[in-house]
Amino acid sequence: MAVSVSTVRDSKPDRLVDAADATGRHRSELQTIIAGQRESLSHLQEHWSGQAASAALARGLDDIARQDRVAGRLLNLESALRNGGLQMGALRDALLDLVSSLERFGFAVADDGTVTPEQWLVGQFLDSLADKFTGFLQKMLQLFTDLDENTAAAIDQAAGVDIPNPPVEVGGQDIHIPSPDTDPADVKQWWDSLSEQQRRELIDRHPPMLGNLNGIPAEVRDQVNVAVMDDDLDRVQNVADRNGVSTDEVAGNPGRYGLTDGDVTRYQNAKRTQEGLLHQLGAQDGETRRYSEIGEQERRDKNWRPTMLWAYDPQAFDGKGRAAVSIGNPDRASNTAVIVPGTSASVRDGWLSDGHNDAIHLYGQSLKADPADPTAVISWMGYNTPESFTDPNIANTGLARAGGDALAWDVNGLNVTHEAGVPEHVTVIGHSYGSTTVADAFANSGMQADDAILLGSPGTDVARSAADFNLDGGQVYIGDASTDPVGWLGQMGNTLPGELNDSLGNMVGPTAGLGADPAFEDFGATRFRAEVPGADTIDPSDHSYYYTVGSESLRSMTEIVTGNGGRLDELGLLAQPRTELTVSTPQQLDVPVLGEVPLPHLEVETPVIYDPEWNRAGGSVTNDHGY
Amino acid sequence: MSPSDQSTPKADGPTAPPPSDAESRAQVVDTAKDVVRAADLRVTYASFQWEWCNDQGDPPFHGRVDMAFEVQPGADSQGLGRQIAATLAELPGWAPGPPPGFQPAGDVVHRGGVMVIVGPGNYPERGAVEIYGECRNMNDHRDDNELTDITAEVRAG
Repeated sequence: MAVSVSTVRDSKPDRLVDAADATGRHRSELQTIIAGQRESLSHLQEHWSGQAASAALARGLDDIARQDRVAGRLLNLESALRNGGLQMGALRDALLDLVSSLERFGFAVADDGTVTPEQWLVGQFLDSLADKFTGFLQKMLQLFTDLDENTAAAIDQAAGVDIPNPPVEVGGQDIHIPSPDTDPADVKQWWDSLSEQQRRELIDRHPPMLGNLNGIPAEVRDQVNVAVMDDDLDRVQNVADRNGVSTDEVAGNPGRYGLTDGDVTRYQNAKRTQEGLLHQLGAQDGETRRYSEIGEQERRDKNWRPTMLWAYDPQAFDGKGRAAVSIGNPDRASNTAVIVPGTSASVRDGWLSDGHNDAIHLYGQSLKADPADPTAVISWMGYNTPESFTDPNIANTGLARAGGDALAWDVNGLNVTHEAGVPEHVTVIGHSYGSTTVADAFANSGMQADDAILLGSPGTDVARSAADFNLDGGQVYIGDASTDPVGWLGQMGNTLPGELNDSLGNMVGPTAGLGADPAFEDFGATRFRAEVPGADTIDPSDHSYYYTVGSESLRSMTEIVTGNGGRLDELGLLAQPRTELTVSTPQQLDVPVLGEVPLPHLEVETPVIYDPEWNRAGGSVTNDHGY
Repeated sequence: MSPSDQSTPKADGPTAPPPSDAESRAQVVDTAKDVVRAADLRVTYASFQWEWCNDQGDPPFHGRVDMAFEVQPGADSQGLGRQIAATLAELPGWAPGPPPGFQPAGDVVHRGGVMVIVGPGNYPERGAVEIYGECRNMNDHRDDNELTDITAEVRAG
């Protein structure tokens, strides 16, 4: 539900900006300290040698690495505070301006945004005018609500993983679980140092931190996370049973039953996560029975997919939730693909269970391509995404950078628990805003993976070219339909004409473009074919056909994630990059943007980009079947 | 929709009226029954679901059936899949490979716009059949993500 006009009036977004300034000052202080430590260490290195010296230096470097992470997080926090504060401040001013203008012209504005003409105003047309203003004002209130929620989630994300982590008593001894910032290699060392009995008891006790700690084997994380999810379901279910009321009643009035809002958030997101697990498993939903009740024998008998709950933190991101479901075990598979979603995806909003089936399709196709060694596919709902295409956050990269940091931390941890002797090839795939997040994870946060795939990318932010991904022998692959409007944003940047934005329902927010277009020739990526069958004009829904079974893009991705990217050429799946044309009469070109969307300023303000995929011979784009 | 009136997608064209839910469901469930009968499969589980045709849950939608069948211990499930696909391709109205323009991995046959992929299952003792209907259903299935168990229905033929 949207906030009211009085709530907007009472809000003080400039305080967020003040807090951003304060955070910025703390960060500078920390960076000064880090610089000083670096200097001392290098001085020590020159004047002190021997075993004790090496140990001390190693510890010193560890400390610096940890402080660097804290500094990075402070930077994310500062950016979340500042973006939220500035955007909410601008929207607040615009909204209150509109309200006061309306009042001046003789309209009354109710707190929910309803506009009505005052009694002394006469004229029928005023009613319809009032309706239009009501619609507009309520849209602004909704936008303010989204922004508010997103800013809270962004701040939450910047603060890092926040799961209570008290010591756990096992066999009369307090065991301290490492903090989430601990180097995954150290976590593994700690886990390996425990006795078999201690490990078993810890899994039994399932402290939530254990299931989210990089360096803990996937099998253990899965058992812990599923048990925690069950607890979250039980908490509300048991109270409902005891009181003879529905779970909806308990969730609607938690205080009446001795529960908190947090308990309800955990319950709702546990339900969404369980739906996601059941859906990706291939089973019916959880109305009749729990995911945890399904045993190995039944999975095998019904050929249900080998799902695992790799991460689970239902209260993360201000209640939007964090979770990752894997089909296949990333510790044992030779190939692992990590799918990173874009705008408006969250645990709360059902990204893990709704009908797009991205991970199901990629896993299924990889099984056909490589039956002996299916690819483990992780649906990674591990960051806070922009709320919608109208969220001003989509037009800036703050969430992508914070998300990229979390993604890099998770992906880099995969290597630590990977089974010895099994080769490891990791591909990270981002769609839409998720591709910006993936690019930032590589170029800004030091993510190490073999291949990258960017789908429908609005831009790569920090990375200016494929080389900035620092891939060790792998490639940056691009899937970008010529008719996908979001894929054109990188090049159009802030000159994206208002007319185009308007005709697409303002889907790109007030400003657009998140950096370089990776489908452009200078970027140096490998572009695979990803045309939408039957497309003949730019269409917002073409932004999302990349995972359709049978499409050239899913086939290309299947080859890449199974380690056979080299086969794209022989399969006829390589596409030429976009190029810039030097012509003065762009309207005469058969380019989709010009053909269908009136862009009066395009020829003057924007260089003309030519996409060779647009003009492919008729038979090679699948025009003839109905999707 | 009976097998005899399966038209090619081209003949259907964009001007043909969109199918009803019952027709879209029958398109894949009837195909599943035909596959079971023709290849003499021992089905251990089958499900139907509405699947989005793009990532955003906009129409059109299509029906999808997943079937698991028994593979004898030690048998090569990939080879078996290939054999089943070859058997299906011989049937009247069926053709080998995917519908024009599609290029999935795996052993594929099609009947009109319906695509069937046969291959190994998730475990050595199972094979899998995936059946994809045409993306032409214009009703709102955005939130119909639930799978339904249709094992008994496809076994009964």
